[in-house]
Formats: sequence, C-alpha cells, structure tokens
Amino acid sequence: MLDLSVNPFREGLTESRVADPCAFVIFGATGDLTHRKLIPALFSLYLESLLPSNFAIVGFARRDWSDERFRDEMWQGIQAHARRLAGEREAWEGFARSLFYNRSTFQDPEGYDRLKTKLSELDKSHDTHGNRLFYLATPPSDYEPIIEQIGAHNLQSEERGWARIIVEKPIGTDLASSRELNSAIRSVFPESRIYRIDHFLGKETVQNILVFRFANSIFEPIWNQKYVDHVQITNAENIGLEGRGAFFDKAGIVRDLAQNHQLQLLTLMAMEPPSSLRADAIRDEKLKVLQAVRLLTREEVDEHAVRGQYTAGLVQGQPALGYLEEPNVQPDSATETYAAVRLFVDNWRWAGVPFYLRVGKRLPKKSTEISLQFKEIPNILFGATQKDAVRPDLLVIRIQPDEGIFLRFTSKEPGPSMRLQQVRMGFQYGASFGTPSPEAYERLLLDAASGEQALFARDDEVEAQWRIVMPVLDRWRELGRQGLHEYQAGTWGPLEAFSLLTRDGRRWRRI
Amino acid sequence: MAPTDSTLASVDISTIEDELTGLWKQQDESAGAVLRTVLLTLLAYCRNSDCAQRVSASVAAIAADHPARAIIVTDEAAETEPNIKAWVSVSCQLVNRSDKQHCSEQVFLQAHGADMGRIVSSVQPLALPDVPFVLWLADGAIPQSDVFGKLVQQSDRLLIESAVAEDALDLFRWVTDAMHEPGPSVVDLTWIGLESRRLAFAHQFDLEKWRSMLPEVDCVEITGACDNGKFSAETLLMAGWLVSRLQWYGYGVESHTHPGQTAPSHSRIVRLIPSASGQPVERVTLKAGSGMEVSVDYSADGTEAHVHAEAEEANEQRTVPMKKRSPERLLCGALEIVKQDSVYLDTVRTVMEILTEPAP
Ligand SMILES: NC(=O)c1ccc[n+]([C@@H]2O[C@H](COP(=O)([O-])OP(=O)(O)OC[C@H]3O[C@@H](n4cnc5c(N)ncnc54)[C@H](OP(=O)(O)O)[C@@H]3O)[C@@H](O)[C@H]2O)c1
Repeated sequence: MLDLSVNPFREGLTESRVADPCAFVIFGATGDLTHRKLIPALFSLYLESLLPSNFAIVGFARRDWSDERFRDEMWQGIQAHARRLAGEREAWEGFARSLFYNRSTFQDPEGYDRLKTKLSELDKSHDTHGNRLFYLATPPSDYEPIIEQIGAHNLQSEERGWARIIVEKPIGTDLASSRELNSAIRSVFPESRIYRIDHFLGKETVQNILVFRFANSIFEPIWNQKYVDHVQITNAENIGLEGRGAFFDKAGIVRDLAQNHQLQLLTLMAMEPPSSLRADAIRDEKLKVLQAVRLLTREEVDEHAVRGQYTAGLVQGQPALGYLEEPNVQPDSATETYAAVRLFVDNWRWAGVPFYLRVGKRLPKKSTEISLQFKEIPNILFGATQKDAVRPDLLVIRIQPDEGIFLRFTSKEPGPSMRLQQVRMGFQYGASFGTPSPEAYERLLLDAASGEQALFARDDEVEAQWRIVMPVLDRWRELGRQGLHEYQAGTWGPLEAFSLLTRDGRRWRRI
Repeated sequence: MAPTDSTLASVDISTIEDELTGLWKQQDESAGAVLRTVLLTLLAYCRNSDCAQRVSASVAAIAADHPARAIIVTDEAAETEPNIKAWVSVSCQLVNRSDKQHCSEQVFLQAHGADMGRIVSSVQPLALPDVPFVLWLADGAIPQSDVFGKLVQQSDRLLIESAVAEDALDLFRWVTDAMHEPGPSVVDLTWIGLESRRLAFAHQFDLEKWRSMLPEVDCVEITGACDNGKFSAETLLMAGWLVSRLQWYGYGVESHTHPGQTAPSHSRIVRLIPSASGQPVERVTLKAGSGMEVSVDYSADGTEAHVHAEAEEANEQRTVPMKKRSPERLLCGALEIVKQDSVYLDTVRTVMEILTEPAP
C-alpha cells in the first residue's frame, strides 16, 4: 500500500529534508536583519529545493509598503548582500509570488486581524496547512507587545497546524529581564515551540565540536582534568562598532558576545555525551555544565575578571578611532569593549581546570578559537638542556576564519643528537571539504520550520548563562570607570589581562 | 596549474611511488603551500585515451573537494602489441579563497585485454590504506576480465554513468549483480544528474491534495530521447522511478516500437514517447481516469521545470527552479554518497522489468 502520509517522491533524494509547509511571518520585515539575512537565507533554501512548494512569507512592519514594494526591496537586498543569489532573477520571480506584506504597527490590534485573515487565505491559496512560523526580527523592546497581540488574536492556536516562534538574541539585558521576557513568551507559546536563535550555533564548525568529541574515540579519554591543564576560548574581532554605537554602548561586549556565544562554546567543549541527539538530550547536558560553572562573588570579580576599552590606534595598518570617539557613544562611557575572565566548572570531569575566556573588539585580527592545553610530562627523560623544548601538547579548534583543528606536539629534529622541536598537525575544513558551509541562518530557519530544536537555546540555558555573567556585570556597573583598563586599538587587550594568566604560571596563546 | 608528468618504463610499484613523491616535492618547491590530504583512491576504467583524458581533467578539477589518488586504467583492446605503459602526474588547484593548493596525484596505466590481469595486480598495492576505494566505469563499458570482477568486489563503491553506456540494460543487469552483499554500493552519475528533475517533480506532491490522488494514477508517460530504437538511460530511469515509487505491480508498456496499441489486459500503462528535441528527458506526466493530470516540462537548459497540475476544480501552474550541476559537481555529489540508495535499486529493477515487459 502506498503510504500517503509522506511524499513518496522525496524518499532517497540527497536533499530529502524539506521544511514543513508553512506561512512564515516576519515581524520587522522592513529592517536590516530581514533584508540582509532572512530573505537571502529563505531564497537560498528555495533554490536548493529545501522549501516545499507550499510556503508563504508575510512581512509585518510599519512602513507604507505594498506587496510589490516589499518584493522589490527584498530583491534589492539580495543583490546587495547575497551576491551568489543575485544572478537568479528568474527564480526570484517564482519565489516572490509567495511574498506578502502586512502594514501595521506592532501595537495596533487591527493589523493582527488583517494578518489573521491573510494567513487563512494563504492556507487555501498556498496550502500552508495552518502552520505558522513567527519570527521576531525587531528590537527586543517590541517582543512583548507582539507576543501579547499574537496571544490576544489566538494566532498561536494549533487547531489546524503548528505554531512556532523564533526570537533573536539578546534575550533580555540581564537575568531579571530575560526571565521576564521568557515568561512573557511562555504565556503564549510552550517552550517546545520557542526557538531562541544564537546564529553561532548554526555554524558548521560549532556543530562539529560535538562530532569531533563524540564520534572519535581518541579524544574523549583525555578530555578531563587528569590530562587537561587549562582551556582558552578566544573571540577576537578586529572591527569596531560599525554603526552599532547606540546599541553597543548600552550593552557592552559581555552582553553582546560573551553571555551567549562564548558560553555556548564553553558548554559544547565541556559537556558530557548526551544520551541521544534529540534536542532536549543535548540541551540537558549543556545546562548541567552551565549549572556547574562556579559563580563569582562580587569580590572575586576583581581577581578573576578584567575589562578594557580601546583607545585610538592602528588596526591592520588602518587608523582606528578610540571607543569614546565613536559615534553614538557617551563621552564618559564605562562600557567594556574587552573582557577576560577565569572560570571553573565544578564537576568531576573539570575540577580544578581553569577556563580562560577572552573577547574583544579592535584586536589585531578576527579569530574565534578554543584551545586545550594538556598537562606537562614528567620532566625526567629529556634532561635540563631540552627541558624548555618540551612544551605541553595543545589542541586547537578554530571556529573562524579558516575553520580547522590543529594539534601541536613535540618531535625529534632530524640529526645525530636528541634535539626536540614543536610541530603542528592540522586538519582544515576548507582543505578536506571544498563545499562552502551554508549560511548559519539557512540551517537554523530550516531547522525551525522542520521542528528541530537542538541548535536553539532553551529558557533555562539562557537564564543559566545570565546567572554566570551577572556578578561580573553588577560589579563593573558599581565601579563605573574605576578598574576599566585602556588598551590601544590593534593590540591584544590590556596588560592586566595578561597578568590574569601569568599569575597562574600560564599565558594566552598567540593567535 | 599545469600537471607535472613523469613517464615510467615499467609498472613497478616502488618506482611509481618514488616518482609521485618526486612530483609532490617539485610542486612544493615551485608553488608554496601545498595541502596533502587524500580522501580516496579512485580507480577509473576506460577503453580509450579520450576517456582517460576526460577522467584526468575531472579528477584534477575536484581536487579541492575530493583530493584523490586516481589510477586511470585504459584497456586498449584494439592494440595488438602486448605492452603495458605507465606514467604519473600531479596536478594542483587553488583552494577556495586562499593561496593554498590542493593536488591530486594520478597514475596512468595502459594495456590491452590480454594484459589486464597484470594491471589489476599492479593496481592493488597502489590503493591507499584506510581511505575508500572507488571504482569508476568511466565510459560505461563493463570490463570483461575476471580479475577485474574481483576488484569490483573489493571496492567500497562502484561509480557508473548509465547515460554513456552502449546498452543501459546490460549495465543495469551487471550492476544489480554487483550490488549483492557484501559488494560495493553503486552510484550512477546519470541518476545523480536526474536529482534536480526528480526534486522539481516531487514538489507538487508535497501538497496533500495532489498526493491523495496518486492511487488513482493509471498512466505514466515519459517523453525523452530515443536513438536507434533505444531510449536514453534518463528516460528509463525516470520511468522506473515513477513506477516503483507508485508501487505498481502489473502494468503494460507502450512505446513507439508498439505504436497505437493499448493494453487491454492492464489497467495501468507506462508510455515512453521519443522526444523531437533530443533532450534526455523532456516531459513527465502522470494521468488518471478521473481527469487528474500532473505534467512537468523541463527546460532545455536544465534550469527550470514548468509544472502543470489539473484535476476537478483545480488548475495549477508553477515554475520550479532547478539546480544545474557541472559534470565536476555531479562527480563530487556522487563521491559524497556512501550508502546504497535503495530507491535507485528499486528504480533499476523496475527499469529491467519495463524493458523486458512484453508488448501489450
Ligand atoms: N541586523 C543584524 O544583522 C542582526 C544580527 C543579529 C541579531 N539582530 C537582532 O535582530 C533584531 C532586528 O534587528 P534589525 O537590525 O533588523 O533592526 P531594524 O533594522 O531596526 O528593524 C526594525 C524593524 O522593526 C520595525 N518596527 C519597529 N518598531 C515598530 C512598530 N512599533 N511597529 C511596527 N514595526 C516596527 C521596523 O519597521 P519600520 O522600519 O517599517 O518602521 C523594522 O522593520 C534585533 O533584535 C537585533 O538585535 C540583528
């Protein structure tokens, strides 16, 4: 008997995973994120035949645009930002037929009435099965009114199909506001239908950390306090504010990058093997790591954390303004553009192993890397002369750019005497897999539209992340500019950050 | 980057390895950062030097995605002198957005039928350890040598291209034999090439309304190239795919070789129609007595499909984009498949059934 619950012609296709039929509603559809990332990602999925033929996109925003204008503007976005797709004008015509625009403010109930009617029409005309995927591509201050209106209009109802919501980071600005926001979202959508995006998790190399750790048998046995001396996680940016001054000056680098991206990397590095690849099995293990991170007291913050702010300098040969001279930054701002912290994960596996995290803007180069430095060998065999040549082994996972995995170990130099030398063995993604990785947003949108939550953060994870950074943020707020160290743009951060490691007899890796 | 060649006097494995090491060294010295990653051994079987050249160019072109040691065997049946020739070459390609190069190493072995046994014995030690061994019948010809048959059994994957085979039916027969456990998994480049056509067709049936009509379908019609009374492998594969996906058991086959006849004993018909344009597959249609009809016309440049679906109270038309892949991308796609595609197996079995089905 032919099983008609699935499409029999899809079986066996390499691209067999296809998003569910659905109407995709973008709140904030005239904004930057929509035309730079979301529409190019959806169009790319369409070109790859990963969107089913029964989908529709409804843009929701304030500007007085028509369907036609919305389509034109989005096409311009494609040409400006997605060069690979810009040649696909004809395919765009087909895609654009499923694009619609609903003009309204987020507060106006009538706008949601119109949206509701439009969605019912699309269920008929585009056979979207009553499935709805809402995307909040708006400033976080708009999340609550939108969610309230979705609830008031019962748009989240699953009477005919499913309803899911995607929320952009940041989820709140501190622990209290993230709890508030999470509970506001949960008052309308259950947790199993909330997709909190951290686009970092959509990156191939981040996902590969789990594969690397758990699909190989040689690393896991040494992945613990018995063999690992310490871990370093670096998120270095060479750019400054790039027009985001107003936002960044209120947030700072810890809220912007450390609270989410860096702690996600830490959890993937440190977590125990999940019992399966189901979303909750993975997220349970990640949560356990976050819960095991020792919280700093306010007093400990001064000893374990360092912050900095860049002054004018040269980055890759180009003059760069100091932070306080950047547009939309308060002249006496105490916002940190660099942070380094020493954390401990108090569990059986990691007891006593420091995790050093550093993140900064206007550093000499862009790089995101994780490194595990292994313990030194007992210094017996190679005598005093070669002592310094025997350096601990090092394993580096580079997330960007030039994703790859490298191992540094000691080898004998060719020749009659016993001379030792550090050598490097490497695996580069680009070298072994020529196919370029898909954009993080493509993967994440496809996952959300197919109900796969593993790469999205759960409420308790987000809250646990905030719990870790709050003592630091609170203490720094208390101190104002006191204890905020300056560093010149184009250098690796304030000297105090180096002392954080040298005090422990260690040092930051040269990247 | 132009390949660096070296011709050898005999098929001596250590000489071949030494020559390759020498060539790599030359590349290192002349071109700076050369990446030495090898993901597979690819043994290509050709019957003439044109095919060998084509394979050599393809292997070099995909070096960045699938750096391989390629062993290209040419079985020059026409040559009379018992003679084996061998030469090696390394050719390099810049890796995406970097100044690094990826190189593929190629070993060419040329012999004629009688000497194939010797070649096969030379090939085995040249295969790299711990990486998959892929056997590619590059011009669709089936090697006659028994020794070669053993090689098939030892390989992890068998790559074929049914569209270039002289007789697709023979090839399918041979392949279904090869596919027996624990034989290699078989990947057909022609089948991979049909993927975008299959996807474009599949789209319409994501819609439940159209899917629910599938049990009523009683006619599968494929319009495709037909040369000397033989339909293109693409046409046959599409027909086999549709019939097997619809789970038809018992049907009649109608083609121009039996013009104008219908099948009174069968309520279901597979109809093959020669295309005027010569396109491998031009059009695919499903029909039902109820009046339902879904047809897909593929554009000649392979970039889009026009879907027309008609049923009671419904008339839909849409254009679906198709991903056009160069022969090199197809080869990459084929090399990425590691498991036997059971849909392909069912398709090939059905193709054999269709071709051996007596005329209605
Ligand atoms: N841009 C990025 O690359 C990026 C990257 C990561 C995360 N994010 C996050 O994504 C979210 C959106 O960022 P964005 O850069 O796209 O913001 P944006 O450019 O400022 O866009 C805001 C959107 O919201 C609409 N809007 C604002 N107030 C409204 C109201 N009262 N009623 C109706 N519409 C209203 C605007 O519509 P009108 O313009 O028509 O008024 C516009 O479409 C933010 O949370 C941001 O943190 C952005």
